[in-house]
Amino acid sequence: MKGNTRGMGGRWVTLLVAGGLLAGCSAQGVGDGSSRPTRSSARAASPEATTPPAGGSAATPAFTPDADLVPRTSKDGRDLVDSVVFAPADWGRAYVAQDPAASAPGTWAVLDDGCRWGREKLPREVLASLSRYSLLPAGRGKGAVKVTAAATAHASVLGADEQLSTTLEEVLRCPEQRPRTDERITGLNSLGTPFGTREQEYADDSILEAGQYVERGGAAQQYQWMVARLGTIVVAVSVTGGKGHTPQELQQLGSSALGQMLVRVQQRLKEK
Amino acid sequence: MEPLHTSDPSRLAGHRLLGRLGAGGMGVVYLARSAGGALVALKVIQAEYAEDADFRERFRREAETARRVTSPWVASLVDADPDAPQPWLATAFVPGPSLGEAVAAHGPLPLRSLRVLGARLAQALGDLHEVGIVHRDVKPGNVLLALDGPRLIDFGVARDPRDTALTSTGVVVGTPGFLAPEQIRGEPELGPAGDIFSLGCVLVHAATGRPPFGTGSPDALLYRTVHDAPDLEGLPRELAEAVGGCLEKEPGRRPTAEALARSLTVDAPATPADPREALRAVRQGDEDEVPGDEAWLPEPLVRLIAERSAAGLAVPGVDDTEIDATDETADGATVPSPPQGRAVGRRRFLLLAGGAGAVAAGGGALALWAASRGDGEGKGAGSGSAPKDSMPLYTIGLHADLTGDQKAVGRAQERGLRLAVDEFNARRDSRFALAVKTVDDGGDPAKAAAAAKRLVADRSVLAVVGPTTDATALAALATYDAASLPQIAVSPGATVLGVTGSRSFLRARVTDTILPFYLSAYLRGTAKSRTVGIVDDRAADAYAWEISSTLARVLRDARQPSVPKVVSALRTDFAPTLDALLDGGADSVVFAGYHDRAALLARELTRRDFPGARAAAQGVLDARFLSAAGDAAEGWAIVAPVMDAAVAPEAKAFAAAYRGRFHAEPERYAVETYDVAQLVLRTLGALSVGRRTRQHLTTALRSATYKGISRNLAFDKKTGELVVDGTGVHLWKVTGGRFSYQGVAPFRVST
Repeated sequence: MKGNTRGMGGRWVTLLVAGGLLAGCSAQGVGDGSSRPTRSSARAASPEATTPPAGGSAATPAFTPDADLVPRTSKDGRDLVDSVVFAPADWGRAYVAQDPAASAPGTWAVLDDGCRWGREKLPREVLASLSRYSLLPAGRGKGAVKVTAAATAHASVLGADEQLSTTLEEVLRCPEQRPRTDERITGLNSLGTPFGTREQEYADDSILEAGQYVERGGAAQQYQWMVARLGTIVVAVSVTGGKGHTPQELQQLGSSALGQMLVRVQQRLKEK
Repeated sequence: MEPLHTSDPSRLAGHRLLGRLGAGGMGVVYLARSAGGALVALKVIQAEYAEDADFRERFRREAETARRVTSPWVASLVDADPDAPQPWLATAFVPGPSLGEAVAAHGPLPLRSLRVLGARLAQALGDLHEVGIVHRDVKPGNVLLALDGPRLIDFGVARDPRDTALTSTGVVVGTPGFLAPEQIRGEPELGPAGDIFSLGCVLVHAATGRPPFGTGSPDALLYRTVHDAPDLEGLPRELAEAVGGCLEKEPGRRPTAEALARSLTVDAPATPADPREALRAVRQGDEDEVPGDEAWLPEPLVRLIAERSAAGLAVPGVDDTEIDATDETADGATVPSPPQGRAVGRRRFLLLAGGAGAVAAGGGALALWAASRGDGEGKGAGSGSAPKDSMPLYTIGLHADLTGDQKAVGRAQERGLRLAVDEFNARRDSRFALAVKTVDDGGDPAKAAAAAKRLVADRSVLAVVGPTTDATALAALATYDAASLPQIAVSPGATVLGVTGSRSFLRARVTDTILPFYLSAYLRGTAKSRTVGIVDDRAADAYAWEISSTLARVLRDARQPSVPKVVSALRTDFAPTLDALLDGGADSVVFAGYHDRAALLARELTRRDFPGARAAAQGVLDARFLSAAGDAAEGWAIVAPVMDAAVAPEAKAFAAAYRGRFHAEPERYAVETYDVAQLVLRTLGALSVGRRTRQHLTTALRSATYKGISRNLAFDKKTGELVVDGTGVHLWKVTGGRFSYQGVAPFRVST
């Protein structure tokens, strides 16, 4: 990981490694990541992800955005999240929009004291937030895959970082959560990995959550929630998939999407 | 000073004898008054040596060289008669204690005294070297303290470096523990650099109370001198460079006496800028008191010198190393039979390695020490250090942070290990000898693998204790595993270390995920908390998360309410955190994080008069928490895999041995490391000679058990993790501005 695989390719691999370790170490509550990418999942990155972009500089691991391009207003924030968040077609040809296809403007998801998810008006500190819900329909003997892509633009780095703190807090508080009345997420574990630890070199901070998703008393499906922060921008994806989808496949799908959304953030914010 | 024996003459060579300053195999040193009325130290050689033509020749040369020396800091030669029936030599009498005696009685010298001492002794050596003399036995017992400065004494072994005829092949002159590596190796050409090395040792001893290569059996001492880095803990930073330079293994890299004197004469800053220095000064009591402008020594020593002067008496210094060889028989041919077979005070005969014996003569003992006959560089053990009957020597490595953020822990681990090894080597029934080799990674994970490689490369290293921190342990894990070198971690608690599949890794403490059970028991039982607030500090990353996430689960499983709060590493204001805890109804707080940011929370809790209990794990058990939090530290409870061996009744014998060995209270993680060392040496001893290999030891340690002072040691054969049995986790509480030991931590909520 320290060699010539820098750039986004290497970064996605790191995320996959962290994911593999999270899944493998949940016996004691939550395990720790290893700095050694020896897991087989390290080599399981998607083909497009393993192509390092030209000119990846080893000397600048942390992305430093152009201050003039960082969103300061709600309008700038909305423009940014709109262009970053994956739409159905971005996930793949067969993906379609769920209903609803996107979150209500001016709101974001909040976990209440009863561990139920609801949407509330954005706090003053948050410029904009957007979630898009997509679906790979069931077929050819495989279950459906539900995915969410989200981005939130904050007015400050501290505000963005505290979104990640809150995300970690949610799992401590509620290892069981109810996204909607007929849905449950159980057995949640999570691990935050700041930049520079456990070879995480793709974002200022990141979180991986894993658990099981159950809808209307059906079979448990794998659920993953991946979060990453670059400066004031937080991006996230969730992947829920059932029968016929291996954990590696779903993890790869999620980390690839997250990585590409991070590239979009960088492209929008880098100096021209 | 002893009175004269009845067999002693009352007058000798025009001197009036007043008493005995010391005696040894070669002769007696008297306090005498010369014909002119001056007090002198009169060294008189036994007649049987005087009959030896070689010896008389050597004595003559000593006298000649001594006459060529004019130095304010060397006890000058007053008169000598090498041709008398009983040859004698008179040097100026210095009415002061030896440096060794002064340090033993009053502890380490303060910085200013050290500078004066070092600069003047360097000047003394420079004066000797200038006329072509190498002292060859610079040690605390050969430095006497006077009101105006130190005096270097004892030309008993001073000799011209070009003059190699007087010492038989393989015989080394000097005192183990203060000898230079090249002196130990018996190199024929001993240069002035050897004296510089010895002076470095003397200065470390004066600064810390301990010689830099420890004390104990001669073989271990010599081995350490040749192979180990010196123990410089407690040496003032201002002296570290100069003294460290003296202790270079390679003679050519040491400074000259002149350069050393110059570097030590530089004006010292008035007070240390680093507040931790102030903290250390508090811990050491009044040892760091600054002497007045007039005195170069602290007041108690000035008083001691004054008393001695008034009495007109001084007892020569006590040697820092002693070797009790009374039950050894030397099989070498050159052993002089000690007349009367008696040693004076703590001076004993020094025998080694199938070679010749050693004798001590008064005025500052001189020890002749014979290296093993002509076999130059011994394999692994270093020449001359292999004990008799080719007893095998094995090495236990210590991989530690000795200079970084956790150096206090690393140093304590080194001491615990050394104490166990020294005790082992001192045993009569030992069938092998042990040495310690330390490597320092400075707490830097980037340096940990390289440090591990140094231990791996030394084939005599059969087991490693350490590293000190989670990050360095993780970085070194693969290196030890690849070499099948058993590695026992004493302080790291991260779960990840046990899940990488390393076969050489063992952990002598519970993981951090076990501590929340004790935290829960303390808060709900002892502190009667009903709703526990949990603060996870993201600045402490995985360490915090292991504790906070496990504690949340433990409380949830017990159906107890908790209020978890995760704090961004970017946040330094804990007020909103406390607001959230109070909103949630928390009546106690656990801080999952390290000492520096715990102090921020502690201050906020106090500012807001939070009435509930405060608790944390070992990351807060750090003196820096006390200094940063001040009064706000009061009442904090710490659950940690470390006991206070200074007060724990079960560690009483250990504590006594530790104080005797290091002149300090047992520090945290010393007894835990001592226990681990016991496990290693017992397991090693249980293996037959042919099976004492890294591989076999790795396997044997996995299934070994040992009931230690601090905990029971037994390991999960698959993961190498400590078997959790309720021992080894302890409770501390901040009272009166210090960490007060509360004993073994309760594991269950008492009802």
